[in-house]
Amino acid sequence: MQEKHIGLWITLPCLLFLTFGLVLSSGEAYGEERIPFTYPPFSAKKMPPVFFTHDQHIAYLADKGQDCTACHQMTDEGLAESFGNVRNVAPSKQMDYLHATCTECHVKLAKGPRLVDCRTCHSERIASENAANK
Amino acid sequence: MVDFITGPLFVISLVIFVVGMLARVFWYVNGLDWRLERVAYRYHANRSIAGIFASIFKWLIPGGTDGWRTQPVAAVLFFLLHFGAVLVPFFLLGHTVLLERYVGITLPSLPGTLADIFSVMSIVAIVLLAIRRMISPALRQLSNGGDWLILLLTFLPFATGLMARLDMSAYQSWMLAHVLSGELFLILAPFTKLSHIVLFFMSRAQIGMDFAIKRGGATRGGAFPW
Repeated sequence: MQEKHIGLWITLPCLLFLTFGLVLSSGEAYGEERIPFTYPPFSAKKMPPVFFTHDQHIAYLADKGQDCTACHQMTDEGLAESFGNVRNVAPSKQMDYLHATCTECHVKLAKGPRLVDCRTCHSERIASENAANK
Repeated sequence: MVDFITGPLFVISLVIFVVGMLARVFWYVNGLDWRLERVAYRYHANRSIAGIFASIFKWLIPGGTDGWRTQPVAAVLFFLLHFGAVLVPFFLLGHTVLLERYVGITLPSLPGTLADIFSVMSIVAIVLLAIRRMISPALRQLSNGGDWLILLLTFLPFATGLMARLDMSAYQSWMLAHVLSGELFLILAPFTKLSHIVLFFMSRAQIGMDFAIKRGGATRGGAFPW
């Protein structure tokens, strides 16, 4: 009886610790959730897809007194899920539009990767980690 | 700082490169002798134009000339280096994206793996050319600081670019080093032997014309096969 009690007292905290550890390391608890760019659905996989730090961007913009409309347009059906005006851009110009809009903001605010920093956003490591989590 | 290096400093480097190279071309033509060279080239345009293209074309083919064939190892290394050195700066995907955004020119891009292979080939060729320069007695006599400088100026953009491409750590620092070394290349090119980027074509054109007109080259397929 005594031995069983000890067993339980050791396993329970261990399990709790493990669950907690898993939850924490998944990143969400730290506001590190990464969102994939799903629109437009690029067919040519020339570079690893972008999974960007949505929560970090929200926190930064909230600090500056900005809301979702800084990046998402308000439409008749509510807030658009896609980025900026990308849905109204000609398909052949959509990638250039995304590159330009993301990095122009980073240049203006002197923060975040510039257009030369390809693999900061197009990271093989981050893309494979996030693809595995899905 | 980042925005200055990737913005105005890049434009300045490009202007120095283009203006400097145009000046080298101008001085090359300006340095030709009126009586011995220019009059002959102009008067025999039917021979000289064929001579220009024959000479440039043959020297651009591996083994296309006696000069390449007598030094096969050096020729292989030269071409290994130059495939990457010419194709990667223009057609690497990262470069074409920047060109499209800032210059408005849309170029096709190399598949990533092919660009990786070209870059590694160029690095290997630079290292082997440096070793060749160290061990060949004739080259040891001929080499000066300027020869080593252009090997270094070419090595740095490839090495830093590949380090960034590996994306292991300090990505943005490697990328900044890559941009800076590329700008150093552009700025110094007109003042060093890197001016061969344009002067190769000038001297091949001149020798092609000269030999086609004066030395019977026209009777041997447009130019001497040298």
